[in-house]
Amino acid sequence: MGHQYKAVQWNGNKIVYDLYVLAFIALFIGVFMAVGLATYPSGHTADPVVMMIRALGTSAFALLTVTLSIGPLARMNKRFLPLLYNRRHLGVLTFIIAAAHFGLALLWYHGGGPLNPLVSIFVGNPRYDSVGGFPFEIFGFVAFLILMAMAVTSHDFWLNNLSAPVWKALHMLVYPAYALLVLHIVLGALMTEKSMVYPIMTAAAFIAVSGLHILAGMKEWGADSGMRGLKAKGWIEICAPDDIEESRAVIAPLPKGDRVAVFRYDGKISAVTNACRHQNGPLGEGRVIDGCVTCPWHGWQYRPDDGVSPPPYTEKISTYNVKIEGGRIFVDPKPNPPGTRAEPALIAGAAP
Amino acid sequence: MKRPHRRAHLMAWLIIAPVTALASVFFWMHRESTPYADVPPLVETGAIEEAR
Repeated sequence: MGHQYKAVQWNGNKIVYDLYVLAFIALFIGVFMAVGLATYPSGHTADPVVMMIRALGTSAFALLTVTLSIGPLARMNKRFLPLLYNRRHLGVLTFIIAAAHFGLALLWYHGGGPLNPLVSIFVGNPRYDSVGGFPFEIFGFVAFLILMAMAVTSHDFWLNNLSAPVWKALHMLVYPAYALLVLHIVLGALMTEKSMVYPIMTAAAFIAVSGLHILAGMKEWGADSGMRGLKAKGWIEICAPDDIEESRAVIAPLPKGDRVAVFRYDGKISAVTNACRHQNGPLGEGRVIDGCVTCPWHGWQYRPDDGVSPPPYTEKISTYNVKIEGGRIFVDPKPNPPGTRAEPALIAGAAP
Repeated sequence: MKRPHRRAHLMAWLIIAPVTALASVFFWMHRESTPYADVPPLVETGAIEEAR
């Protein structure tokens, strides 16, 4: 972790960012309501509550689409990396809007009868054997439960207690949740919708999210394939020192699927694992700031020579031995235990 | 250190994307205004005959 790490705490930038997002959501719902009421078929009376339920649901789906697109976009282009800093707030806001949609729909459609509204979701429409009339509410309800579990565990307290791999696995449930929401929309709003705008926008959102994830995944797969099958023998040639920008890194695949981030800074070369201790963020896509490797996802920091976070923090990552021979950088593929100092390789003729 | 779940993201979407797309198209084709839709309840219950 680093001195500047404020991923969870509020700070000025996050407040401004969240105000922009809230203003955009309010504008989205306002425009949706206005257009919906203005274009309602003549001869029918528009119901503002139903329109609000749809506006909230649509804005939650749109926000989740944006939130899920940030990850793969950042994998493919560094310009999107700053959005990762605020992705968690977008996710929690998505849950809050989804909760408003869920609560209003529950009261409006299931709150007036003798049944418990939550029971009514499952038995109110008994057409389980129907294809076109299947109770779509169930898909939305399950997706809502997943979003709630993610929002509740979104704080770093849970990340630390569950460990990064378990926490990430839990939060990957957002993928099936998104698929359930698509089915919720298709079996719900799109069943009676006459306009083609809704189906096209829903399809576009789903194609964008799934396409981006598959493209980013293929890129990751391709990056690993170069070293697949090789044995960890001897030093691995990376590149020339001049191929690395100052305070930046190149990421190289290693045998057994590991990756190393080779940093150039102050006339020296150091190599650390590419996986941040926080959320396994790609350290090699970050920079050396204040003498520390800084993760691009949430700003966690480590000294490049020993992989230890600056005091008072105590996190450690693995380092790799490096050397420069014949103007080329070589890395020993065997990682040192986390926190082990590895002597940086000095770049000949470079100013420190 | 290996990043866990790196390939799991790709595998998840390679399963979720086609399944969701096919299910969505299938359900949407069966909405009540298409030839594939369920028989309308009025016909199913015989109420339409009574109305005639």
